[in-house]
Amino acid sequence: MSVAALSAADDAARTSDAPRPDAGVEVRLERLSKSFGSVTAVDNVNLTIPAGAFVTLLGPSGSGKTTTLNLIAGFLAPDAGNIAFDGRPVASVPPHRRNIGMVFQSYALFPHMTVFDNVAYPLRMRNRLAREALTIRVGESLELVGLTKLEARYPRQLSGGQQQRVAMARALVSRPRLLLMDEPLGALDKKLRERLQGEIKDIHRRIGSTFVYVTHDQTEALTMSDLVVVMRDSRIVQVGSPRSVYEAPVDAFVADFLGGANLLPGEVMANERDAYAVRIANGRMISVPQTGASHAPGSKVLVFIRPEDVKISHSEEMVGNVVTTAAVVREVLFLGESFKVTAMVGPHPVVLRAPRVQAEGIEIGGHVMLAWPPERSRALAAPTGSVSP
Amino acid sequence: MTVSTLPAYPARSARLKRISAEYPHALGLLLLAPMLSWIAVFFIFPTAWMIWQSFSERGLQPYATILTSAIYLKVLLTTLKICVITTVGCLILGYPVAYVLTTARPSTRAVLLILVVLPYWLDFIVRSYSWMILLGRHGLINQLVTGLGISSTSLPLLYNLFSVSIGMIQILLPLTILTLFSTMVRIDRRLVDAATIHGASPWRAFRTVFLPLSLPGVYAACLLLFVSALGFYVTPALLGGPEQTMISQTIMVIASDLLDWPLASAAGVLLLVVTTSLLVLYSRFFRLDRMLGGMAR
Repeated sequence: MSVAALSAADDAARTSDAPRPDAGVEVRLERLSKSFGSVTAVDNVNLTIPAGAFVTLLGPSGSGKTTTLNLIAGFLAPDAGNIAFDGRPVASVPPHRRNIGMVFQSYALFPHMTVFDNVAYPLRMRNRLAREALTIRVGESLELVGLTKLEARYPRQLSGGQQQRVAMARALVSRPRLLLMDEPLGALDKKLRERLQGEIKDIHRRIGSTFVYVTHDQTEALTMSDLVVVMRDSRIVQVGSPRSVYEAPVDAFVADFLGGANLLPGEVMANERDAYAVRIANGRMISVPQTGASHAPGSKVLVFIRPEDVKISHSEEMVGNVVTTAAVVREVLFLGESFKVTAMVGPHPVVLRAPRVQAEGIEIGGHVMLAWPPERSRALAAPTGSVSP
Repeated sequence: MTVSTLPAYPARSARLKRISAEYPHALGLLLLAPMLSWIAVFFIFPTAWMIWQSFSERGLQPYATILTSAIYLKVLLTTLKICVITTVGCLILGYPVAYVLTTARPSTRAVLLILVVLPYWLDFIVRSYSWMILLGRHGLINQLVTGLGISSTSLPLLYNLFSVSIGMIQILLPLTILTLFSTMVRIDRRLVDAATIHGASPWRAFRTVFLPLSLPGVYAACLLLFVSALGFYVTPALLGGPEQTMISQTIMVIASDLLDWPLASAAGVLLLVVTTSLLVLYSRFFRLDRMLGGMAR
């Protein structure tokens, strides 16, 4: 299991009200496909979502993530393939019997019902509870999302953030073992979004249900998930812990989609033990570890390195095991806590973050040295056709 | 409102600018003038004249005649009964059609909408006569019934409450469907999904979410139908018997056969008062402005 998942499990064990071990359901998607007319929305998707995990489907719009979510919910029937909850196929189970909670992008709160009735809705449909028990459960759920004293209000009388919390409370009230969230924070401003990210993550730890979260925001995916599923063009491109997809992307798309990525075109010159010798545009040979896909000598690759792993210096003297190359500064932007520096290696830009101390004396047009630890870089297959790093 | 929108239209000359500054409503009034004068000449003036006439000759006597006469009260009651039947019938038949329209794919929806609206373009009288051909003693249905031996005598389908109701329902059905559709189409389908995923069967999702949200449309349709049905003349005259005489027919008889214009005017004024009070009461209780102004939430 991934490091992130393990630490999440640790945290869960430490809290007093630790979730039951069977609180989450395992969701398995096998060779799942769905088309709308001539448009393929989901193409042969295979994925196992571990019980109790927080899994994010991440991708640009039109990548098939929302369709995948709607297939799991049962709003859509797959053209091919299977969906199984805990090993049991759910193809013949209608949505209302799948025992799922869901938070919609627009929240989809019932406008003609009060907050209380909205949150009580799943209980009234699923469980036959006495009035007192119902009131207690609704109260608990609203408390879980940090919303009290608004039970008598109507959704239109609430702020966006409050509506989002009501939608969460409604989805969680009947203690579903699977919670689906379709870009639930998309309509909120940045500050509120960041706060709610933390709260949702915290709720996940406390109740232990399986969370499937759809987003196109890579920060959201990285901060919240145990497992990130990167999707593009109706397919899954990479599955892994947030750190592994961020640090070891399988291709240029994933590298770029998950955050600022430097992609330096180069050519593999030799295969030495655990590393490739790659010649980049300014003629320099650099060392790149051999992981993931293998590249034959002579093949074109993109050397991937994250901006925060690149150091900048005026002199040739670099400490430790680093790869260095000369560059010319093209742009220096002050960001507050650091500077964003763009330096040209041959015709290709490398973006990096320089702390204020390091940035002393860096001027546009100045000759500098760039350095990075080779283990932080990857050789990615160069897509056929032109690349815009 | 008018004032704030005015600057959006660039005033071409300084003179126009000055005029619009001095009389902020001038442009609006100018644009409304043709319609306002049309309404004044052909609606407000005749109505005022009718009201004046109902009082001028014999004071309140025509009103007393109508309100104390058993015949007029019976006609009024019959009118209300037919209106209620028509309204309810239209809603029962129109609601499912409107619902299907909202769920249909855009291409199917366009075809269905044309089918719904098509009868609306046909003349009242033509449609009423076509019912006579269908429902008459020797009409299509009766020929079929006697021909197949289902019944030895022809069924009484025409010139009764049944035929009047069916004729009026057919005429008002497009209006019903369009009114209901305009409300239903604004209901967010994700709300029904939200109900379903949280445990509601399709029927319960409809009953607890879609139906309550479509009620404003139902109320609006009720009012439109009832008020429209009140003034029906041709259909009950052609398809109904003496028992189905409605208020408009009665007014016609008083005016053109009895030539008692004050009495006819008084009956007309009473109809107008009933209709207007219904509208006022309705807008009080059901926030009519919201219904017709586009408010599904």
